[in-house]
Amino acid sequence: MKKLLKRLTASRNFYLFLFTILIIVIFQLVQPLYLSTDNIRNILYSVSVTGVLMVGIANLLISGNMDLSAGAVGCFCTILGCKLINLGVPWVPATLLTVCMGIVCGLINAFMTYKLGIIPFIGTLGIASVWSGLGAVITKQASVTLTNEAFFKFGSNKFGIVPWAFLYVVLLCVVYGLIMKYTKFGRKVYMSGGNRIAARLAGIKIERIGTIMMCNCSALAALAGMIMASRMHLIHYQNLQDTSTMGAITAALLGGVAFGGGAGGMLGAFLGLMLLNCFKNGIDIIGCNEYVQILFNGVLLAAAMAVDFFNNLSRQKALKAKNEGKQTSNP
Amino acid sequence: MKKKSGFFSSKYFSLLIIIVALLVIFTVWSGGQMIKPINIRNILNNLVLLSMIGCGACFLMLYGELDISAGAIGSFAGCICALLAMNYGVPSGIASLIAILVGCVAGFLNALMINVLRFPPFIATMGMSYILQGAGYLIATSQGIQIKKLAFLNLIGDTKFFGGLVPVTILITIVFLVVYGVILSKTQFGRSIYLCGGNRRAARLCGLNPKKLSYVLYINSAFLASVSGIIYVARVKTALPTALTSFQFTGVTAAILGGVAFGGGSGNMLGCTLGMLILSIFNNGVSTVGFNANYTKVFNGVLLIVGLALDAITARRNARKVVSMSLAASQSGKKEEG
Repeated sequence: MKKLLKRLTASRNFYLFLFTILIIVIFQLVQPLYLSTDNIRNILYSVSVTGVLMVGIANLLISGNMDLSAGAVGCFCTILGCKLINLGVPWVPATLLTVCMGIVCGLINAFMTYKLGIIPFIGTLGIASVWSGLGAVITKQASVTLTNEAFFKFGSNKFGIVPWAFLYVVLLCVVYGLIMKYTKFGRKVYMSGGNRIAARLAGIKIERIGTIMMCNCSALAALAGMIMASRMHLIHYQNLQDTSTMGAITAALLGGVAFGGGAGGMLGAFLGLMLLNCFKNGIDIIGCNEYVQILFNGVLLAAAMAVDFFNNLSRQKALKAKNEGKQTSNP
Repeated sequence: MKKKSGFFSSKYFSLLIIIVALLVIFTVWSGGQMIKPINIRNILNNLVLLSMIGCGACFLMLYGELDISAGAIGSFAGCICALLAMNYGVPSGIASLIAILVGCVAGFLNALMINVLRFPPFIATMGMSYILQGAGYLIATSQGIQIKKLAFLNLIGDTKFFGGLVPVTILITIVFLVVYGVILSKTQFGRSIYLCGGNRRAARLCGLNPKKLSYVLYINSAFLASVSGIIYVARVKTALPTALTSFQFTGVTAAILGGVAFGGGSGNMLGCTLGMLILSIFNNGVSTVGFNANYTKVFNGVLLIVGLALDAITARRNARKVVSMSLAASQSGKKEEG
């Protein structure tokens, strides 16, 4: 028992969890409606869309890359997917096709990064404006409404108060967490994010891993878009733009994923996601208007980066201590 | 062999050709709409806002960093200025000064996050831009603040020369561009920016202080953005929290198109100015021909990527040249020894 407690208090995720609980308690005290069934469902729904996006982005960050176009890619692919569904394609193949389109978008990002040599940060931003502009052009700035009843179940079915969509996120986190932690591929991803040169010298094909992770990120973004569309029964060209991308990045960073790559895990990222969404929903429900929320997006992003900074410091300190320990023990 | 005349083989010449070609194409396509006086004034007005922000972006990119928050800082400064002048009765000249100061503080905070907490510049300024946008909405709401009867702002916004064709702001802008161009190419300060952008470690070893420079440049970028925010308010008579957010990346795109290297260290004001001209003519042309704003967004994204790809290719070619030069040097050195 004591051992367990010791292990718990040593892990960062434990504090993240406590912090989330603290936020929930505070909001509950301010606004008793916070923990009503409807609102819990709201929180879980909002987690589900950003969550799917976040899983892709967190893994991409771990591999040392960046994609700011994820939201725009998701929206654009979903617009095409919804058009397909409206044309009469059954929803399962339509969703699969949408995910495939996401993969193609990811390939374009990878081509820019590795063949043209553009820094992903700014290149993906350019691409993001291309996709969101195209989305607006295709839909003529109107929303695409859906009428396919079967497709709605994909996003809005629920067990009690837990929506399926939330379970998808949990499932994705578990699967990706296992892959990243226990497979050879996952370890390669960590290594190529942690130390690019060392990874290359060790024979890891960094470009290939980067390409896979970018495709993965865009594919999950497309999936997130489809979940969103099936829940709202429509998709609009302004949905899922850079605010959602930044939200997903913020969640991953809050959860301890290193901005420069090479560290962090899915459990932490999931907790970061919960923290972020509980907080956002909280300031919403205590009556702050949407402008305050835009402001808080920025504050949270800065806070998340600060968390990353201090994580980095402690990681370096630990490494230093380890090295010094080795040096003293060797002679 | 006689060397070709410098100007005609230079990059500026090709940029000028692009500008002329764009003008001709869009004029023909729009049936003469493009070169009507009203439209030329539109282009100039747009250029004024763009060039202020682009100038700051150019300096920062030469140093090797970038500021995404410039558009948001400008809009926020405009909101502050309008708020002080309309709701609190502060004279508009003083209100503008205070607004510029507030903008500079935002720039300082950017630099603080980047240098002390070591945030990547991109994320730090992105966060700042969210914060300022939110704050701008809180001040001005999405309707914006209307301004009326303000001596200083009206003077800036409405004075025009040459039969109402050239607004006074374009003259201010030209002065700014010339001054900044001279600072960049003729002063010690300007050269130190190039050095820090090209090789930061070498710059530090030379006794320069890149951190100090970074503070100056971020504050400068915020300063220019605030000035352009106030010019916007003076001209349009409304302070909007999203007034300049569409200029977020146009400054960066213009600088890259004008040949400023993305990683820093090369490029100059003339190229950057031509880049801005290209962008504003292009954007205006696209809308004059009848495409809506979303197409402009798409084309801007494509332009940014093309510019970046060209930049990356040049960088790679230069790197190869340096390698082959140093190889040649080492070989000739060996021969001499032998």
